[in-house]
Amino acid sequence: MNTSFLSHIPEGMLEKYVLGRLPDAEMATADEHLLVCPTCQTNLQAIDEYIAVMKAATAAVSCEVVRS
Amino acid sequence: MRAPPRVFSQGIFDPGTGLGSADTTSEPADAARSDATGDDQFDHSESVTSRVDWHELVTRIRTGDNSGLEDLYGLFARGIRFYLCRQLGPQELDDKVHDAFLIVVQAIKRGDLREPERLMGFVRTVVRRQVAAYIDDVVHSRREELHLDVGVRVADGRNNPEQDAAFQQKVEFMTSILRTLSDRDREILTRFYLDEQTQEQICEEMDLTETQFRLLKSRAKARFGELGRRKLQQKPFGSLFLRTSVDSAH
Repeated sequence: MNTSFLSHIPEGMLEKYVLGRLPDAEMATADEHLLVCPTCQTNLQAIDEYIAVMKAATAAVSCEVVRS
Repeated sequence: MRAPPRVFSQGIFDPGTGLGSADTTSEPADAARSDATGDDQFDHSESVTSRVDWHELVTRIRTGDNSGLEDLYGLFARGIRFYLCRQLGPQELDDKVHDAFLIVVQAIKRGDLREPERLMGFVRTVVRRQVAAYIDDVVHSRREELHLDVGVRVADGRNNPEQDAAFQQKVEFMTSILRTLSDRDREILTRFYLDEQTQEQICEEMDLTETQFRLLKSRAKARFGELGRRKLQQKPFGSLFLRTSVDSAH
């Protein structure tokens, strides 16, 4: 069965997905697509990590600013 | 506009799950391109339903045709595994994936799925319920443990020390990048990623256009990718955890 798809979830939408800012209907659509699309799964992993890194890094710099 | 280099990591999830193994170099980089352009539109129906005959697949599963089960597994196994691992971590992942398939197949055979074209939505519901049930169980059992031992801690079983070290290294890269930004640019990123303010709120309060906001985010991501790649090339273990996509191939 062919599971190579024409279209992938845009990065902006994946970012909102990770941040929990997608409306319910779009969240469902993204979830469903992610169930069958390896490319978007991999992209989501990258965005998951990037956001985790950004959270930690912005927190660290904010602490430095407060201390200084 | 050329898409920024992107960093892919296999460090967040257990490498044993195989979740980071997709060949991203052979697929279109729509996702990477969209951030700077603001193109968040996505038509799911064009991507999936046009390629799979859901009625035919469900009929084969209902009639006990093994090829139906194989195709169902081929279509959803990685995605279910990915979803469950992302939500619950890699512990007992095989069992959870097996349970999900069992529920889906039994429901199809019972005729519970009346609209085969809703199979993806049905699978999503099954795994979401599975996640909710698992979390309920964990919360319940931990409450009981807490009654027995108030010193008990919730362990994060997802990361091993190497993964933690790789993650910490990336945080340090990003921290060094943030230090080079202007106070204003840093505040924008902090509001978005740390304070979890919406793009609309940030743009309004900081007098930014949507394009300025997206460009700042894209540039930060590009610099992270460049610096990460450069630094990790000097460290032999880095390649285990970080690779870059070939966004520029499209």
